Amino acid sequence: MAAISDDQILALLEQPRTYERGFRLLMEKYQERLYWHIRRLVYEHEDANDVIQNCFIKVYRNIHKFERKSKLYTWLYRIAANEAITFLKKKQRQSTDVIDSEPGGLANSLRADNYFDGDEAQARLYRALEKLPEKQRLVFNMRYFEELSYKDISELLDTSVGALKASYHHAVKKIEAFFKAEL
Amino acid sequence: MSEKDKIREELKGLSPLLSKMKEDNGQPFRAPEGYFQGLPDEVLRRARAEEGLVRKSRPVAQNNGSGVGAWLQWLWLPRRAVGLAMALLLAVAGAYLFWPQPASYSSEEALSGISSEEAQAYVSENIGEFELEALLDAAVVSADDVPEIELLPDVGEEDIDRYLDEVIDDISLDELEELL
Repeated sequence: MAAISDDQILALLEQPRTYERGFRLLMEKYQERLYWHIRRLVYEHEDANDVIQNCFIKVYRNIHKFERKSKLYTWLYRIAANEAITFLKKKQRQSTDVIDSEPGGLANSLRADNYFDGDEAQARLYRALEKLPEKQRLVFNMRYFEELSYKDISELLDTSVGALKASYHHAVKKIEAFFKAEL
Repeated sequence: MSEKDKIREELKGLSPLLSKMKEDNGQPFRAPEGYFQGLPDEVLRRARAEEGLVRKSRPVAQNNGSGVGAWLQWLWLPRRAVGLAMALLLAVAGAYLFWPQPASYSSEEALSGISSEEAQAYVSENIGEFELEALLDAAVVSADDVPEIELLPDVGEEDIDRYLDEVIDDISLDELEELL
């Protein structure tokens, strides 16, 4: 069976009778991509679960505001990224325990996450990522993990391709420097 | 060369260390088994609990004229219809309270364009319509102008009886009953 198109999903979301079916199809189509994007930003599964649920509840409430000026995924992605960044800021503010108040707190908590199978090198990579500015981290994740073109990233982040290239190169160099410093 | 190959070549040029790490290691994160199958149900359950069933009726915004019907349908959802009715009620009440009313004016203002001569002529022509007290209050007639009339000056009971004897024949029986 061919994958359902965004137009078909949006047509279902226009009618109260088919709204729920359309919403389910939207989630089934995009939930995994959005989940992994969020998960690489917040690290722990429980946090990613909270963020993605909040994200889709916002979509459920506000899909009527989607004006089709961009791709549906771009609109969803922006909601997910904003939700994840808001979550991280809130978590940083509320953080009172020793682990989270230390640099690399989120990455250190990966050890306790039952759904993290990475080795020490990967844990170190996530500790390095945590030190990057938010936007640089978003760019790095999209290029390194999700292997998106600069053109797609430019549309998602509303940033020029030149600025994205510079941002990604800086991020890679900072992470490499972090690794060398730890050795 | 595909886009993904270009991305990997770029990384190899920038950082052989990170490039090798990426080749050697797969995805370090896992999601619980069956997580994605259950996620839509969980989100819908929460959304329904938070928003009720009303939200289901909200249509997607459209970029053409056919969206008007859907917009009206959305507008007539019970919660919006009640809101709309309240807004109309407030607008009507507000208009009643704050709309400029026609200025009320006093009888003095109404009569200001009439000369005293015209007023006196009117009163003379319609004198029967006015109470004497009102004429005195309005100073149209002075109390001094009204002669004191002595209706029965120095008339005693004997004079009345004599008068009645003289005119008794001219008075009908009915009139007599009314008088007595």
